[in-house]
Formats: sequence, C-alpha cells, structure tokens
Amino acid sequence: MAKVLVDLKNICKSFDEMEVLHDFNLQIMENEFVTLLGPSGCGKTTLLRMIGGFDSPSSGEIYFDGKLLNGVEPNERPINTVFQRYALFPHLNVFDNVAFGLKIKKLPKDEIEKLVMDALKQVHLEDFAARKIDRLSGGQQQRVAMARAIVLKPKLLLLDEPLAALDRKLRQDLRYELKDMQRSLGITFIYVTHDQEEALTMSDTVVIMNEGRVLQIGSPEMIYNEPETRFVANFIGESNIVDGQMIKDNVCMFEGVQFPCTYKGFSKNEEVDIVIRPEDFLIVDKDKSKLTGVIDSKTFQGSIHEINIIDIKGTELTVHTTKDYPLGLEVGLIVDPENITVMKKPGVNVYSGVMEADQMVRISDDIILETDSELEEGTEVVVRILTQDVLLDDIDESDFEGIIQDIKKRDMYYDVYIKTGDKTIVSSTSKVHRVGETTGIWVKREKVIVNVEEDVENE
Amino acid sequence: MKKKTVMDYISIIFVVLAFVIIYAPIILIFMMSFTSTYSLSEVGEGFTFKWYQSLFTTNYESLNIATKYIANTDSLKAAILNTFFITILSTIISTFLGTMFSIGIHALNKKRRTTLMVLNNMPVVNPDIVTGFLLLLIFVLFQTLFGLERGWFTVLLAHIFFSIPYVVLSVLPRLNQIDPNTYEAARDLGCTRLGAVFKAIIPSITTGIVSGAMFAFTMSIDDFVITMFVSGTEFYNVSTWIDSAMRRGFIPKGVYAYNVIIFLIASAIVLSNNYLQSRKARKFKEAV
Amino acid sequence: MNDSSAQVLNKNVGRTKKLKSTTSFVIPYIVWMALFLVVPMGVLVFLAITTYDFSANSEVHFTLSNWDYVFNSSYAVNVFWPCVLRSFYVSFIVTVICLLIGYPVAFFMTKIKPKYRALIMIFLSLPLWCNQVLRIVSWRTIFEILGTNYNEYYLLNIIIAMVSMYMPFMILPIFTVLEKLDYRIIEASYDLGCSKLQSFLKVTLPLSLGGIVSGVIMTFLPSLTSFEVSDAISYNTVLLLGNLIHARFHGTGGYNIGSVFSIITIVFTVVGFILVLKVDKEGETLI
Repeated sequence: MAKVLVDLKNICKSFDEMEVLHDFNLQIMENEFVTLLGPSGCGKTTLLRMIGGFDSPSSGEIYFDGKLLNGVEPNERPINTVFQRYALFPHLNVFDNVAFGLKIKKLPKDEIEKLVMDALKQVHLEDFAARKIDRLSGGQQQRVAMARAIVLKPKLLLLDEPLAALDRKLRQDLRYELKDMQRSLGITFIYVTHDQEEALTMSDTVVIMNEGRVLQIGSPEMIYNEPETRFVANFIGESNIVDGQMIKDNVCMFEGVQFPCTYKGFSKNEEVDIVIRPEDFLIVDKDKSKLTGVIDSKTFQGSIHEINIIDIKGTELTVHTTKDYPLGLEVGLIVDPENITVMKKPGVNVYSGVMEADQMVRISDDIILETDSELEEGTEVVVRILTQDVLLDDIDESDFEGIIQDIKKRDMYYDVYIKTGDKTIVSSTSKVHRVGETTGIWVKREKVIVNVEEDVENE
Repeated sequence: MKKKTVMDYISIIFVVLAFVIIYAPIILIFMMSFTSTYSLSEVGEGFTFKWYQSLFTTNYESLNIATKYIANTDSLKAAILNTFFITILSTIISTFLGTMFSIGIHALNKKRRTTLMVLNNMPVVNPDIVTGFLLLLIFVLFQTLFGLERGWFTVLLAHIFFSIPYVVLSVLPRLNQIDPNTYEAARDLGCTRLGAVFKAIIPSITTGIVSGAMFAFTMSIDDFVITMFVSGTEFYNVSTWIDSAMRRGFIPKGVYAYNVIIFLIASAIVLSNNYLQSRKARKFKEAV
Repeated sequence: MNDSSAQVLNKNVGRTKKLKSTTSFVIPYIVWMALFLVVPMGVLVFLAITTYDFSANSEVHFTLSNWDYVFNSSYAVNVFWPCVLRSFYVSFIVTVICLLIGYPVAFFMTKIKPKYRALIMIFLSLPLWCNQVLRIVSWRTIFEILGTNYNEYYLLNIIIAMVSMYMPFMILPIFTVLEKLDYRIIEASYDLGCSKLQSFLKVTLPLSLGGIVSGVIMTFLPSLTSFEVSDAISYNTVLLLGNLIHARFHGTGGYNIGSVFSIITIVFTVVGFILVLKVDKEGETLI
C-alpha cells in the first residue's frame, strides 16, 4: 500500500474576515499526481502556499512524511515550488537561476555544474544555459522554472498554474511533458489549476474545491462520469442539469418522462438533480422517444455541432452531435441508462419565522439569527439554511447551542442532527462529532436566506 | 519626411524659450569661470583658466583678496570637501535604508501602504523652509536634552532624512514590476529571510536603486535651505558657503569653475549612460 | 445575540494572515519618521502657543500672543499681510508662466522620437547639477548687466528667476502623465468626430490633469516659500513669506513667531498635498 506523504488535517484559513479554507482535510500519497481544481478564489493557491510554507494555517495541522510541518520555514522544507508566473530571477541567466538553490546549499562548484546541466537536459534547455531570462519564450521560462525546482530533488513539487500564461497549443504539449517528468522523476506533484482539461488529462487524483471546501475527490474518470454535486457537474465539462425525481430503484423521471438508470437507495419520489452530458444524448426521430423538443439554435465547433434543443416545457437542453440538423426540426432524444447521473439535492433546513427589529429573524424562542434581509418587523417569512452552511463550534463562540441527536455518514461528510428547543437543525460537516454531545452552532448572516412565502411545513 | 506645420514651429519656439530661461544663468556661470575680471562690463573678456587652477593650487592672488573679504578659495575647498563628505555618506546610507523600507512598504497591504506613502511623501511636498525649520527644532531639542551640537552630524542626519523619501519613490515602482513571488521563490530554494532579500529582491531592482541613489545624490549635493537651518555656525557646504560669501558682497570666482566642472562631469555621465542604454535597446531590438 | 456575533467576528479577526516577514522593515521607518517629522511638529505647535525660549530655558507660559502679533497688530498690517499678498501674487504669476510654457513643451516632447525625448528630459534636469544659489546669483548678475536691477524691477526679476528655477518641476510631471496616455484614446476621439482642438480640450487635457495638479503644486509651493531668490536679487528689500520665517530663525522674535509662520505654511502645504493625493495616490508624479 502506498505511503501517505502529505496529510492535511482540519485546515482553516482566514484573511481578515474572509474565510478562505474551511476545515480542509486531504491525504496525498507518495508518487501521486494530485490536482487541486476549482474556480479562482476557491482557496487552492492558498492551500499550496501553506504546504510550501509561505502562509500558515489559522488552525489545523500539515504533516509531511509523518512529521508536523507547521512553523517550519519554507527554506527548511524538502518541498519546491513552480510559481504561477515562474518568479525567475531576472538578474541571473538560465544557468544561475537553476544553480541558485544549489549555491545556497554551498555544494562544490563542479557538482553544481553537473547537476544544473542534468536538470537542463531533462527540460531540453541544455543549449540555453547562458541565455538571459528576458530572452526566453514563455514555454522556455516555464521549463527553467521546472529545472530550478527539480534540481534540488524535492520529495514533493508544488505547481501553481504553471501553464496558465502559455498559449493553447504549447499548453497541450507541455501537459504530456509534465506527466512524463513526474513519472520518470518519481516525485509527488501537487498541481493547482482552474483548467478542467488540464486536471483531467494529467492527474491520478483530482480534488475539486469551491469556497474553501472539498467537493469531490476521485480519479478523473470518476469525477467526470459521476459528479456528486451540481457544482462539480457544471465545472467539469458541459452538462445538462435538470430537476427530476427517483420514481423507484433504477428508474428516474425528468421532463415528465421516465428513464431507466443505474441508481438505487433513494426514497420514493425523492427530488434529485439529473445530469446528462451533451455528448450522451442521441437525436432520433420524434416518434421514437417520449422526450421531444424543437431545435432552437446551433453552432458549428470544428469537430462537432452544438445544438440547443428547447423541450416542450421550456427547458433548454444542449446536445453535441457530429451530424447537422435543420433549425426548427422537432426531434426525439434518448440516453443510455449508464449516462444518466443522479445527484442528491443539497440538504436544506427550512423553517417558518418572523422578522424582528435590526435585521434579525426569529425561528423559535431559542433560535434568533442575523440576516441580510431588510424585511419589516413582524413579517412572516420562510427561512432556508443549507446544511453545509450550519457551522458547529465551541459553545461560547456560537449563535445558539443544541444537543446532537443523530449522525448519518454521507460520502464526503456527516449529516449531524441537532435539537435546539423544539426545532431540529441539520449540519453537514467533515469533523467527527458524537451523539449526545452539546455543540455550539453558528450561521454566517449572508447564508440565512429569508423569503416571504406561505404554507411551509417544518421539515 | 513629414511637412512641418505651424503648430510644430510654435512648439519649437516654446521649447527654445523654456531652454533659454532655464539655461541663461548656466551660460553666465560658464562665462564667469573663464574670464579674469570681476567687472560686469567686461564679463566676456580676458579668457583664463586661472580659476580652475586655483581649485587645485593655492592661489596667492585670491588669498590676498580673501583676507579682505574672508571668503577665500581655501575655505571654498573646505566647503567642497564637506559637501562631498555629506553627499556621499548620505547617499549611501539613505539608499540602503530607503531600499529596505521600500521592500517593507511593498509587502504591506494596500491600505497600510497608502498610509505610509502619505507619511513618506510629506517631506517631498513640504517646502524646504518648513522641513528645515522642523529639523532645526528637533536638533535644538536634542541639544537641550543630550547636548548634541549642530554641525556635520546634524547635517548628515538631515540629508539622510530628506533623501530617503526620494529613494522610496524610485524603488517602489520597480518593486511593483518584479514577479510578486520573487521573495517566496528564493525562500523556496533555501534562502533565509534576509538571504532572500539580498540575493533575490535587491538584485532584481537594481535599476530602481541606482535611480534612487542618483536622486539622493542630486538632492544632497545641491541642498541649501535645509543645510543652512541645521548646520550651526561652524559647518558649511558649497551652497551655504556661496550664500555667506554673497552676503559679504564678494564671491571668489573659483566657485564658478567648480560648478562648471561638476556640471560637465554630470552631463558626461548622464549622456553616456543614455547613449549606452539606447544602444543596448537597439541591440535588443535587432536580436529579437 | 449581538454579543455572540461580535465574538464570532473577533474570532475571525484573530485569524488574520501572519504578516510577511519583510513588512517588519517598515517599523524603523515609522520610528524614524515619528522622530524627525511628528515630534518636531509637536514642538512647533508648543512653541507657537507659548513664550518658551530654548536658549534661555525660560518658564512655560501658554499664550495666544504670538498669533495676536502675527494677525492682529501694526506688524500684521504693515508687514505680515502685505508680505502674504505679495508672496501669493508672485507665486501665482510664476505658476501661470511655468504652466503656459511648460505644458506645450511637455506636449511637444510626447510627439517626438523617444531618442530625442530622453535627451530633452536630460537637458531639463541637468541644471539641477549647477548650484541653485549660484544660479540665483547669476540671474542677479544678468539683471545688473542689463541694468534693470533696481527697485521698480525687483519683483519682475524675482519672478523671472523663479520661473527659471522651477520650470523643470512643471514640465516633468506633466510629461510623465502625457507619456503614459494611450495614443489609441486620442485616435478614438478623432474616430468619434473630434477635431484636433476638440480632442485636445475634451480628451488630452482632462486626462493630463493629474500631471498639471502635481506640476502646479510643485511650482507654487516652492515659490510661495522661497526666500533665497528675493533675498539675493533684491538685496533683502523685497520680503516674501519665506523671508519672514528666515528672519525669525536668525534672531528678532525668535522661534515662537517663526513657528506661527511655519504652521501657516504647513496649512498651505497640506491643502496642496491633499490635491496631489487626489490625483496620484502613491506619488508617482512627485519625482
């Protein structure tokens, strides 16, 4: 079994009042190529900087090879980094840039020369040793940055969007080079990118992040074929995401049409999200499928046609096909059972409540929360709080408290059921709690969603 | 070749006008340095190098006049040495400190940086007479508290004080241009905190540091008002020396020669530097 | 409820980013600036509202008599107010002349080849290598050769000498701003139907306002507070604001009245400084 090289435990990080990483847990194995993938601002670069030692976590531990890394200076970590815009030293030529770290180590001169030339050979730049940095192309600079980092033989290499500054063609070539290099060097790579194509083609494991949390961890195939949340489905490639229901095991329904699928274990008629990739739809004659629609617009994209089909109920579905169809044609759509992905809807706490003065909302005698809503005092409202936004913390730092009644294990997290007075609130958390424990609960004010609505039952 | 329009001719007239106004006194200084007499009516007559010689030898003729008017070439030589002593020391110290401060300011977040830049720019905008008076007050306070007499040391402190902001203003834009991860990259490759500053950051901002040092040097060598306020009665540089000579009604001509020499050296350095830069740029263009 | 959310906020504040280690370099700078800028400001205010005399180490009496003397006495009527008016008049004229000549020169510089641009820049800054006191003395010599250095001409002579001294400080910031101006914006204005004049008035001029403000302040403030020009050229007969401070520093009335003058000057400076800050946050046009 592979050895754990990096172990991130309960990492939290805030800048001023912005929380960038929330209770982040991740294990990285030796020789693994791990990609942190997410939109900008999701906390991936911050995480990388913390492993490199340029930022320290607000709380939580980073273990490297079994040893605690917190507080260790970056120059004392056996880790090297390839920075986003490479951060090559403009006052040094290619050779001296690569030799920089070795000179700090005070290695003998002939050894430095041998190691540098070896590293330059590895990145195919052996003829450029005397070049000035500003005389190199972007791709060459990227290679120098690689050579500068690998020449020190780190156990772990951190790469912060190393291909982002290059043009498309070059990016594609360098992907394979990077992957080959990782294999031949036997170094663990942690690669940060917002480009899903890069993540899918290079990695052994992809970690999808958003708003400082892990959404899904898995092999590229798993992530692509079985996205667990709406966000992942949307972020990884194009997707049609529609509201649907699980009629029973292996049968789902959307747009009023029942389809066979491969999912089980949902409750009867449970509301779900259905994900179908554009290339997984097949266009057939309108009488060969119950799901029909009219072709509304189309664009030619080189190898495929992207066709937007408007379903009868007004839902727009995107289909990729190699064949061209005329606009306005009514067609039927079929889809293979394996190509239908069914996702649980995110958990949500729903309560009825009353607005109080100063933008507060009262849910019960025990639960009064701040909200961004500016509704008038006395308005009857419906309050929705996603279970992932219910944060558990020490009692004296929280909005209110409750006793844990039940804990259900989900794939990436636990659903914790907490009783406060006569209400039950559900929190999705990756921290381990115990039934019977008293815990503090707090919710950020912008996550308390208040609407004027009638006839809502307490869930 | 494009045909010249009326606007072009008007522009050229303005440029010529500006240069005439700026350069008139300098032309006179050149003339004064090469003529033997002090008489105004004969300002262009009697071509001589003797004032230049007087800077390097003891000129008895000027000594004679000097005994009459106190200001003499020997005391001018002392003033020149004082000026160089203060200017070189204050340039070195203020360039070093200003660079370190800039690196610190650069690492601050935006709000704190703006606040500190307000503080930094205050002496730049403050009129010399106010800066001079403020420094005089602090040195008088030092004198009362610690018995620190005004002299070369207070002048040096004052020159460092007004030079640092110019160094910061020259170095900061350069810091903004370099890769934001330069410091981190050096740490990553094994440098200690100070090692990263000296081995990675400072070498990548040398052009900013050099121009900051140039500024500090120019400001210091030519300073009059602030030096006059803080120098006390014993210490003088070239500017305060000319001022006191002028008040006594007689300015030995050696000082004109000295100024011509400085002006020519500076011109030679700046112009040759400009020539080298443009040749480098041209070569670079050809290579790319 | 409110209390607990305040605590939550505090907890988050406690989690702020650890300062980058190089930020500690600014601490000595703050101490240094406090010592040489803030402390003397305090001494200045103290002297302005007392009769304390350093050399005599006299007793401290708080009084407004210094201010009374400057603003409300025969001295005020006969010396101070005429002096302030004269200073403003002189610096206003100097600034206007510098702007009227300087702006076209800066504008012209952006139109020529970069090679010649650099040369003009160099020749504008080279005079700084010639001693400023000697340059003023030389202006006096020039006026004496021309035979115009007597009473009626003193003010004009002072203005000419000041224009000569401060012109580069007007041209350089305007040029800095004009040079950065994206030429495509001007082309866009032609494209949208502006004539050359309209394009200049509606696009170039407003966009170069930052440089103009910096240039005006960098010319106006030094000419308002200069004492060496009027001192040398008029043989200390034409008094400007700077001369008043200078005189206090040498004797008569001492530092107390000098402090009052300095505070007044600082007020003018602060107003100018705020104007510069409005157009240029990090002071790029100051050098």
